[in-house]
Amino acid sequence: MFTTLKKTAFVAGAALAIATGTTSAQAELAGEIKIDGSSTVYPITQFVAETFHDLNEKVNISVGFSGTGGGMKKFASGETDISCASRPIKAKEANALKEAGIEFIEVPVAYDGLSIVVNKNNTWAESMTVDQLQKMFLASNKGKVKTWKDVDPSWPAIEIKMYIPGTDSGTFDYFKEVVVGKSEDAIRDDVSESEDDNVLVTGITGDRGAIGFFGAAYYFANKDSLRAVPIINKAGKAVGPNPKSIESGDYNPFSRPLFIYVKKSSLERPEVKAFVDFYLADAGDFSEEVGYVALPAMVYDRAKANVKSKKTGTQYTDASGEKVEGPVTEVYK
Amino acid sequence: MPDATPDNPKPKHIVRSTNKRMRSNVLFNSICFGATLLALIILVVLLVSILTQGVGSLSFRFIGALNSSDPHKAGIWTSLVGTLVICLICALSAIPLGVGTAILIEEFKPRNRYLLWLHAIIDTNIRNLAGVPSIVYGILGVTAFATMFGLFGSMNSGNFAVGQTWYDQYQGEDKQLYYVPADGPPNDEETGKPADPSMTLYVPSASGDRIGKVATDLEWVTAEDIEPRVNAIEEELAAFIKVFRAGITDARESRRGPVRVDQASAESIVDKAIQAGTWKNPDTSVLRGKLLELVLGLDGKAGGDLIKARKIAINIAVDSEYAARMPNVITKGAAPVRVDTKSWYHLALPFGRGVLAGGLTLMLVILPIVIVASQEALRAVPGSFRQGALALGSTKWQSVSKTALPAAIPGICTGTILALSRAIGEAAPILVLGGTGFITSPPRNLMDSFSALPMTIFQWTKEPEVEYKTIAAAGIIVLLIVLLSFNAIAIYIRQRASKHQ
Amino acid sequence: MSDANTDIQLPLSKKRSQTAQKIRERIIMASLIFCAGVTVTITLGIVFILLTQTLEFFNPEGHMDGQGNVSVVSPIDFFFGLEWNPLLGGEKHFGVWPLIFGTMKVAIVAMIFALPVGLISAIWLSEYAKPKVRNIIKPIIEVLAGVPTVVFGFFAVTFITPYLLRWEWWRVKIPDPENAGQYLKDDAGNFLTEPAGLFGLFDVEVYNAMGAGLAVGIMCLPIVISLSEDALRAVPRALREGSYGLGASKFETSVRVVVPAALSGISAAFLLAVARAVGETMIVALAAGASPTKLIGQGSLLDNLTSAAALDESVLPMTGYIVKIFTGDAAHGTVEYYSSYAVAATLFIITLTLVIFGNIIQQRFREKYD
Repeated sequence: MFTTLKKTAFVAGAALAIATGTTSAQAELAGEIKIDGSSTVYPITQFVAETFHDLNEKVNISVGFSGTGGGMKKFASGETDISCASRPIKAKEANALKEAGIEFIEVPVAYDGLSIVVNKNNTWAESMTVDQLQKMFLASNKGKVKTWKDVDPSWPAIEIKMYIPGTDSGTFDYFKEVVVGKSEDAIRDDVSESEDDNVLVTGITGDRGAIGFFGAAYYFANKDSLRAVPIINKAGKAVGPNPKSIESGDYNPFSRPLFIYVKKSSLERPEVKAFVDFYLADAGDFSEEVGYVALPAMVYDRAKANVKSKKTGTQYTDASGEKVEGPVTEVYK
Repeated sequence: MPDATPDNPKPKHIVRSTNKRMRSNVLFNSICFGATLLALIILVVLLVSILTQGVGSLSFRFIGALNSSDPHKAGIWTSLVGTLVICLICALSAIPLGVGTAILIEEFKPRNRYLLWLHAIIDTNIRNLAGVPSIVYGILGVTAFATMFGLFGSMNSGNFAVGQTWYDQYQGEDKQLYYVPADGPPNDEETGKPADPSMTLYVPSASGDRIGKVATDLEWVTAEDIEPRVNAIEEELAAFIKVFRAGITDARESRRGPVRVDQASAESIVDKAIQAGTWKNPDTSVLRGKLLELVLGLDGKAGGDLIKARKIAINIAVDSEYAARMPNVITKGAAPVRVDTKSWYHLALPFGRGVLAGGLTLMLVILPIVIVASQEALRAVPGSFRQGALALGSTKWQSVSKTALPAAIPGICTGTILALSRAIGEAAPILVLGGTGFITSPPRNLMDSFSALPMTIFQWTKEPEVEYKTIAAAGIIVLLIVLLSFNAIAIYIRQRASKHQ
Repeated sequence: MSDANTDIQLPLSKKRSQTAQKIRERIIMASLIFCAGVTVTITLGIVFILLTQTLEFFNPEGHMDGQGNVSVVSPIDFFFGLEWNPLLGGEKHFGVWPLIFGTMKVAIVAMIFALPVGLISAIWLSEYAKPKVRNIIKPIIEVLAGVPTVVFGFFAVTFITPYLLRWEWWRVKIPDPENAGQYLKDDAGNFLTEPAGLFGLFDVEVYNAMGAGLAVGIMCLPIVISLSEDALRAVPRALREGSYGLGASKFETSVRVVVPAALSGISAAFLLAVARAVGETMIVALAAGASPTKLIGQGSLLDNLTSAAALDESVLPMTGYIVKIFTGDAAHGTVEYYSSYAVAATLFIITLTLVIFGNIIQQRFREKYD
């Protein structure tokens, strides 16, 4: 009975009216692609899957959002062909894959920039350093740092109100990675936490002393009501988040690459190969349409080459097994 | 209540107290009525708020469309069918188990003291199971059905698989796919024969069967021959793709804005791109016509529509060129991929996170409800029915199956349908099991991944944008319609049964 | 049951069919026992999984967390700990009480709404309503019982919280914290506004215990109504008639005779409703938020108590945490992953206790009048 449950009878719409032009001589692709992983990468992958499916009706695609960790678990148990990740694969996860005999190809697909935002009436914080953010957000400074003056003596003694996204979001993880890093410290707990970005925006808009952070895409959408603080980057320059600075890598350290990991044996299948090629050919456009930032063309070219030559493993580990750190533009040189 | 009459005046304090008592009675009546009214008002507000939010997005397109990253295009088709399929699996497993248990408990009360004790434990256990939160059943479902305690290896290890047919799949240079029947799943020792002119290759039939006609007129080439030819196409088309894309990008209002084209600018985009490419067929007018149509159709489009149309245009050009340059060309020694088609009854151990595991997990949730409802229905059948049957010499089972059970069936049906409507609306166990967010097809076999309507509603409700709230409301309306029709069936059965008796 | 036929000579075929019948009945009995066995297996399965995984959580060697540090959690830390801090704050804390508090806050709001309204409605339906009216209203309440919980979650997020609690239809200017009597403006000089909040006074968060609690209360309402009404109706007519005979009004009969007589049944209904509220997942996952209740570290004892009791803030109940872990980024085998099983075990114990007591009381009251 399942085969009779086809949706073709129902589907209409302008998008498909265009697609009818594609009837070419060659056989259609068929098969199944299973994808799971980070909820941060989910919007891009879902968007690609929708578009791909419209052109290849017989390929069945499922995209889940079990999180980077949950996705990697399913990837290692052989359940999925592609795993989305909002961070490079961890050594532990790579080992699990190795044990399961699964080889993978790492494909960076987009940048996610993280914006540090303050109230529009905050006139003093013209730029901030990572050190200053640490002063504010670290748990060990809870009780010591209460007002902006405690962070920088030239700033007014206005109480700092901190707004952060949900602790299981990739955005929080990423902020924590930059600000806390490898230290024993953590993000302080006297902050307002919310899963709903709108709550953060409302909170920060209504409080002169507020500070918060979220994905750059959300900042771009709310530019009128908030101000993003330029961050002093590694080169010592104050840079604000915008597509250009994120793409060039000048906006560091708060921009991170997003990845998909493709199972090598799945890439042998024409439908998976076609999907990955399809994804990569326009990854920049796809990601910009859903609010992320395109990677430099050079990184995509390198990724395309890796897919073509089926170069397995992560670029974040070098030949000697050492962890490679740095912006994706360096890693994918 | 005794009334005071003029002839028999009551002492004043009694009158006052009676009046007070009357007043408090009336007051209490109003309070009680008010509380009931409040419950009804809440239901009305709930329904009205959902209807006003969702009715605008409700359409056949919404029901027939896939989920989408664009709320205006999103629909519920795969999740609606997914819900109905898991509900069917849930019913097929819960009804026999539930009714069987109820019969055992109600009709076969043991006489042995220890068995009686066991009997009481089972009975109590079921009542307590009915109160276990559904999320706990979700955790049980993941471990017991999806991973099966890891007893059969990881998910997708596909032990004891049935309902799968295997093929070796070869790809021609024009991207045509060819198939050869194979004898089993891929394994490390043999990966299928490399393509060879002596083998019979099949092309898929129009109906989707992988073994259609035998492929004829194949041109066999060697890998060395084909490489320069492929590289040449890639190179010559790369120039076309680059110029075409640049043309579209330039026609956009802003970085992410819509495309603005008129006849002249569209022609210029297409002509420039075609000139940049090198085509086998010197007459590119057909291609030009198709591309022009697509580019003109892009006017005012942004986002996904734009990317899609651009992809289609490039696909048309690339595909037609491949088809023209290498018709029926296949490389000798090309390695096949072992692929399969699955029948609807495809099954393997462990079950993985497919519809079967989903349906069985929901079965765990509703089983206690089905049992309790069936128990009550059986208990309502007068004992004289059974005694009559026994007196006529029937066995215990005959008396149950021929008298008590038929009389209890309307009650069992009603209870079961209500339990199933609970299953339809359950999202927590599915969430734990890990239903998918986006899927392009309803489940086609027992192991297939699925998405369920309550899951989709949950996902949409969580999105901050208002547009998602509206389609979530529309999804809820559909869900409620399905539930109400279930309830209507239950009420109909109940009323018919009460007329019969 | 063939004893009755002993002195009648049966044809051979009939005898054979009787043996066949016997075998068939054996098979049927066996399959019935199998069915009943499944229900026992389910219970054992739940206990087995929750127990083994919880014990693994308490493994003295500890587990890696998401950052690669090893955390060791002892049962004492878990069952008596007052801090739940797997991700924020300096030290990691896995004390379950903040989650239990989160669950309790939602359940208490739900019960403050559902118990009185439900009981009073049940009294009206059983004592006052005419049979005709009752036959209309009861099915309507059953419809409410059939509404999926995700719908109540949606209702909480789109109606209860924004309109009933936050009063988003009434936006007010935001006072400038620095200059009294002044209001905040944006760069263009327009006043900034925010929702008025409950009664124009309380600043209710978008995700909060109260909104989720009210939705859970609405969900529990039909359970309370129908179980209490069953209990009230089970009270024998004779008791009511006796009371009327003594001159009592309907109000007095209901409150002083019927309700006390049905008290055990009503309390069973209450316990079962509380169990439902405690175990509710989808509503809290949508509407309650994700901040564990802070029981200590808020300053004075009074501050701690106020913070623990705050209903207008985001809370993380037990079920909410389980969903968070199962759908979040936590990697399999980490301490956060195992903690969800320990929380699930706690939830299971709490609900099971409530349900067992509820069922015992209900059984008692059934016996009383049967």
